[in-house]
Amino acid sequence: MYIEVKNVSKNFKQHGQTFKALSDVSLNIGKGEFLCLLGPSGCGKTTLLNAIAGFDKISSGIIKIDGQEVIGPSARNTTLFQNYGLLPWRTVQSNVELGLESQKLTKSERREISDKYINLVGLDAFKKNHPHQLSGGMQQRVAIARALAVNPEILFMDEPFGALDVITRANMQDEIIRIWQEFKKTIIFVTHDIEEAVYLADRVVIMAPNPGRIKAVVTVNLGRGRDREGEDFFSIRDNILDIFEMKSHDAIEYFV
Amino acid sequence: MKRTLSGAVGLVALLTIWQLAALKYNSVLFPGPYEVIKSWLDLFNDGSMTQHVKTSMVRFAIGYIVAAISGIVLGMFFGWFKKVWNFFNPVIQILRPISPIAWIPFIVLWFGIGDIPAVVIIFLASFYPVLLSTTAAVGRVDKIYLKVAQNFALTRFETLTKIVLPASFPQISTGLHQAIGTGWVFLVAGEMIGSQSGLGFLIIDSRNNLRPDWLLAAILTIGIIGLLLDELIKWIEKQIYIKWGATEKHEG
Repeated sequence: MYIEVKNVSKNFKQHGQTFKALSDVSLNIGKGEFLCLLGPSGCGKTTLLNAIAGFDKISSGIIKIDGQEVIGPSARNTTLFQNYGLLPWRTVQSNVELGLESQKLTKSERREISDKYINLVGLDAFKKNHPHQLSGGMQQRVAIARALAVNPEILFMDEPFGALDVITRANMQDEIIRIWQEFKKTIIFVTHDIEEAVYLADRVVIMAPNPGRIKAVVTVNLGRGRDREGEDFFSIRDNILDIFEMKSHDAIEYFV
Repeated sequence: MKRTLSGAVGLVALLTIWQLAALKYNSVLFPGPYEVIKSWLDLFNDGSMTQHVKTSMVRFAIGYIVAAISGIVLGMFFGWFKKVWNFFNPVIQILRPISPIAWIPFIVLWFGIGDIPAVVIIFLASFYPVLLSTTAAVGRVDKIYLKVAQNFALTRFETLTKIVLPASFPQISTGLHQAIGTGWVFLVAGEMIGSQSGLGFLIIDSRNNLRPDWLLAAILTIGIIGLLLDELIKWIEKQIYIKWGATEKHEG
């Protein structure tokens, strides 16, 4: 397996109490897979993502990527954040070039690469703009271009579209699918939106809180170019709702 | 536009009151604006005013720039290594409230007279605001920028120069702004000790020559240059805020 998560636990100490953010989580992820981590707040989905990305140390267990144990963040993988993490003092172009600057590239090579990815996300006209002059959706496009520019093997996405309006979010979902298909990256995508997970993922990992653990893994057997209103789309969504035990008992919100 | 007009009205009112008040007193004790402006032009025409201003500006620039650079560099260091800062913080807090003037005897003892005492005093007055604002700013850099730095495998040095410094620069510029004000205020004190030139010297010289008109000409020049320096740094600050996209901060 490309990514192996074996018996991983992660404890936080808060106000003298130990809090189990992850408890004995095991998961295998294939190369080129689009995997969604889905669950309510506090279920440890972001903790798991940060652990695989190498930002957070785990308390026990082991995580391997391509046979190598994860001990810290690697330049071979990139993370996209919900609030984009763009550098406000840099233009779009030089934001995209950030990750390229530590590589042995000439200025014109950097320019060429950044031009290519800015074009890919459709922001040619905004190269010289600063992030605050762009809408949220456009800012996340810049972040995507910046992440792709360093040609990572894995893209970690932590609720990347959480701050966007519904229509922009749907567009961005299509865009990320298009990019995923074109570049064949492995994507691990954290979300609390069931429909987003069903629309995007090859497999949906359903997590539950207290302690954070994997409750079920649902394979989404739908082709690409999925119909958000289709019969089989709804049946998978209902299946996930069932797993969350949220159907029909009460009509509570399913994203917390 | 309206603000400029109000300002102009205020100035004219001040000049009028000053002129009226001056009529009542002996001009040796209290010269009016007409005499002062005439004396200023005399000083300007014989080249001495330009010379004094130039000398003062050079001293000020050296003291201020050295303070700004060392304040930013040390502040970045202290902000980054919080534990080191915990050792130095009390020392700095004791040194900071001491007026640079209090150090004058030592400054003369160690640096003699001439250009250096003035530069040292301006340095002392400008250094602490820059140091403290930088230390605070670096400590408050948004964690997401540091994550981005890790994400793209930036080295420590790259993280400091490419991420931490620009991320904290809007706040550092507030310290630089404050420092330009206090630095300029202490220029006069610095030039009163053993200098033979500069606006501070002009004040002492006017006193020794019993020329209150020169004295006021020097005072006005100091005030106007202070105003211009403040406007200049405000403008620079505004450009930084515009570029950084932090529009919520307005200087009042």
